[in-house]
Amino acid sequence: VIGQVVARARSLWRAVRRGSAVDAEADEEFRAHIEMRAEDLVRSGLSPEEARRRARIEFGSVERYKEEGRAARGLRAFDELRFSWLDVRLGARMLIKYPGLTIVGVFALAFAIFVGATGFEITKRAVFPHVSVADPRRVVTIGRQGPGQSSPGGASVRDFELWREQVKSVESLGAFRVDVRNLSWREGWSEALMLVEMTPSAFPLTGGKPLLGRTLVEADERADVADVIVLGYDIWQSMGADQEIIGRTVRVGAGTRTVVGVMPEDFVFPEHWFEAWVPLRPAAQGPSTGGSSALRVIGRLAAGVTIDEAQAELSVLAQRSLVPSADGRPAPTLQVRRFRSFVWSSEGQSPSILSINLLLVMLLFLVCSNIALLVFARAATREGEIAMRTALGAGWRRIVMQLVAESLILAAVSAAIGLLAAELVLRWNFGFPKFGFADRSGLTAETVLYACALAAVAATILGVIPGLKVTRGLAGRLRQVGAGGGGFRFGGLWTVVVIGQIAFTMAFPWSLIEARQTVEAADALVRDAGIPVHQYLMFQLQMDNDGETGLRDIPGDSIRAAAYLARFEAEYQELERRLEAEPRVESVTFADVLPTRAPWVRRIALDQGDGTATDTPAADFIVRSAAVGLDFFEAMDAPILAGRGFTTADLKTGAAVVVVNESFVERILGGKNAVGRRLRSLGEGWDAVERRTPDQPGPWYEIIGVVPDRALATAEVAEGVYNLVAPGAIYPPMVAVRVTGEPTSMVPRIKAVAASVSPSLRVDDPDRIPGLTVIPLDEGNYWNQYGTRMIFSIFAVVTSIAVALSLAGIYAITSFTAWQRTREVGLRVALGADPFRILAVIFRRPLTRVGIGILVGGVLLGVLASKGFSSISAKGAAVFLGYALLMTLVCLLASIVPIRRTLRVDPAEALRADS
Amino acid sequence: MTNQADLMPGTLDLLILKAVSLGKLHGYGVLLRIEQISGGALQIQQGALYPALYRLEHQGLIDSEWGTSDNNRKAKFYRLTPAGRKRLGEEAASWKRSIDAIARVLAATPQELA
Repeated sequence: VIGQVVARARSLWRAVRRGSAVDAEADEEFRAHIEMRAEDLVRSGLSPEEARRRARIEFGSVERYKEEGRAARGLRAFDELRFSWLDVRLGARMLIKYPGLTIVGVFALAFAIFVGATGFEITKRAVFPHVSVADPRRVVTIGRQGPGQSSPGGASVRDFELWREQVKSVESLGAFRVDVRNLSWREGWSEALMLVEMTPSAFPLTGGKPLLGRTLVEADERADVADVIVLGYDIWQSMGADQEIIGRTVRVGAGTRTVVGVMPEDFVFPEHWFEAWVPLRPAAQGPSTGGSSALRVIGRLAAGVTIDEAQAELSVLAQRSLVPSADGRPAPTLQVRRFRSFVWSSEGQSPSILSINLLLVMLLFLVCSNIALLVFARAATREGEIAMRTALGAGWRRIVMQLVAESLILAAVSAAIGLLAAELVLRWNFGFPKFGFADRSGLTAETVLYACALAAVAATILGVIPGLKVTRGLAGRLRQVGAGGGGFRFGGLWTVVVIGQIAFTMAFPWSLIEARQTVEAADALVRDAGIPVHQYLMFQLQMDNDGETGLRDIPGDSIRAAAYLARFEAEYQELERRLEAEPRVESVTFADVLPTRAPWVRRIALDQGDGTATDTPAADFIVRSAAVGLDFFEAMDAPILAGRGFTTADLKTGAAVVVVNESFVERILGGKNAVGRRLRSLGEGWDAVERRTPDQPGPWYEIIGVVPDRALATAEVAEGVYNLVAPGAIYPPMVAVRVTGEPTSMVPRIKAVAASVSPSLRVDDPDRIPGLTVIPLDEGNYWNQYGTRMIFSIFAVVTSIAVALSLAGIYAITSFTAWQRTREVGLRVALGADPFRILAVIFRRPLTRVGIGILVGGVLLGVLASKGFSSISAKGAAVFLGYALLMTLVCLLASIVPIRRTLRVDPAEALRADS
Repeated sequence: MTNQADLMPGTLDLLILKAVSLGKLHGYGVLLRIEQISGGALQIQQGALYPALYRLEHQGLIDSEWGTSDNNRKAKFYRLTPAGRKRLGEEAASWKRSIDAIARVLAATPQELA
């Protein structure tokens, strides 16, 4: 048996591979046969001409035997599955003949492919971000990995120097770390610059070639040469894309650097938001930074060394050089990882991202099943043609393949449109200046391939499912058609598809309403802020730390930190003074959180009002809290309603005092006097509020005053508590500037004033969205306002299209089912049936389907809500019911249109009509 | 009444296998040999031979190669494979059993059944 199977497979393979040669051989063999026969006949006395004629007659139809020969070699299925140019032409003609279906189909499929490709590209970038690495298989990173850590951390300067000296299996060791500095290159222009300090030896590992000038070289590491900088493409563009920039001097933080090179657009190291590279001088770091672990060390595996061998060497080194810490924790290990995988794994949240893609593929199936319904409904109207072709000998495979050819054209056009749209949207970056996942580049080859695969799958579904459905049992139906009955039937599968679809889409409008509430909550923060938000500008203030500390903004060294924060406070005060001297500036203040941004939430305990404190859980309250500057209330136009506001004396003595808002007084104290009561914090954040973390009681504060609800009230928690802080006590603070006139025109001036106070003061937007620095307070929560809105818009468009498609599909199938019954209706009318009773019979089935679909959808939503995945608001429920009604109406309409025609026509005519 | 017999369904493959078992033959040669052995009693629709040959080749029961015929014409020659020889033996035995059974039935007399 196995031998037979092998022989057949071999023969089939040979025949398929040789293609047209098989036919040519058969031709030659037949010709030889006929000639030999003719020669025999001549020998038996026939004239040559007559002999040839007889030989041909005796042989029979050459074409037929050739065809049978191919079938005998198992090639028939291949022949039927093969596309011909004719199929393509026929397909194109059918698409032109039914423009309605073609337009709906192309639009829907293009949309599904657009969504699929964009989703795939974005998720791919999120999971596997582009990083420039010369040799991804051999470039590795080495780091300390403490017990309990899942990936190697950083290294200290001491580690790096030791490894550079001792490690043999990894060569060209280099190190880098990342930082933020102010970049200014002309008067009054400065921008926060994400930069990478790296040893020049690490640069070749990135494989980057400069667009202009040069990259970092070994000599740049020496302390006695001028400081240099290599700029990234984006920052170079925003500086005017000056071709002559090489050799120019720019100010970076407190010092100046000479531009020696510009990198091309596709150079990304280590992540795409880093825009400049400067030499790191490990030798100049000094002893105080020796213990810090902020360096990332990279290198290249030595020739012939595997990563396991490198790991073995480092494990030995770790045993020699790393000791358990004083508090008894085990010593860290040294780990080697491929650098690119390291970047990927630290970025990746693969499961959740994959599940998003799965959803997008499901959308494609939803779209496909609807178009398939339409294609099937149309194929059903072509029953006569299909029957004719079957009668002429076309196999079911041929008919299916023709439908597939048609869908392939449809899918190819759709894929082209969808991919073009995806390319444009990605380059436009959804209208955002810049984002974590996107870098304004277009589609990659993998995504195009993925989209083509999606299109092919779609074409197969669109061609094969309706094709099989149409051709199955065709012969039997042909006989029935001849006898005057029959026709296509939508079977149980379609019923399930329709019911499933109704149930599935029931969730869409409802979830849209629920999503809308997130957007509304963001809007409410702005609307209900209680202050004229459009008169304020806001920014986050930070300061470069060139002098006080070695490495990070928030230093570990307390003496240096104190010096740093003291300088920051002085510079803030100078900035505030100079800003307030500006003619258009009315007031300047700061806080850890400003109005329009969701404030901190905190759980507090309150005293009993008689001076004794209570810590019983029943007396706990949830409040919003903010740490604010001295003149916050004046700047926010918040008059003191009771007691007093903060004073300079409070600040100087560090008095433990707070101001509360009206909601606090009304809801917590029942409107009673608040001044003099005391409260203390039990913990900050939602974890503390919901008692997921142990209480951390803070010191007692005395309430000294009451202000109106400003800044802190949100729909969920309106009770607010403000405490007083000095500018250096919160870092980084958000600064609000109230201006007169059009606020955005003041943005350059504010930046210029900040630059004039100190080149190391950094003015930035609090969410660090590139391209934004000083923003109007009414746009103060950029992500909430624009991000959620954008996601909502995308979701709304997707939902509307999905719903429209669903309705079209349901309309098509219902209308078709009704249309099929026109003959029966005509007959009944002819026999004198009551038209209303007929309508009832006609509507019963579609209405049952819709009813079941709505019920299943409702139950699913109910289950989701009860499991806590979502909540059901009154609005959501109303939309659900409204949509259910719409669905029912569509079904009624789809049934009534074809039937109404029938009810009007003469019964005899209906009977004569070809069903 | 002619002395020709209709080919029973399914027997063409058996006849081809037998014909090529006697030596390698081209398509026309297979036809001639069957006619020759059967004394002209078995006539085959000439073209129908080829789908059968291709089917047997596809099944690995015969093998083919291009060669030159007696009168120097290029022709495709078929010969039996070991699998074909085995199949021929099985088919022939089965055929003989059927024929014997039918012959016995046809030869039956009322006396024997009594």
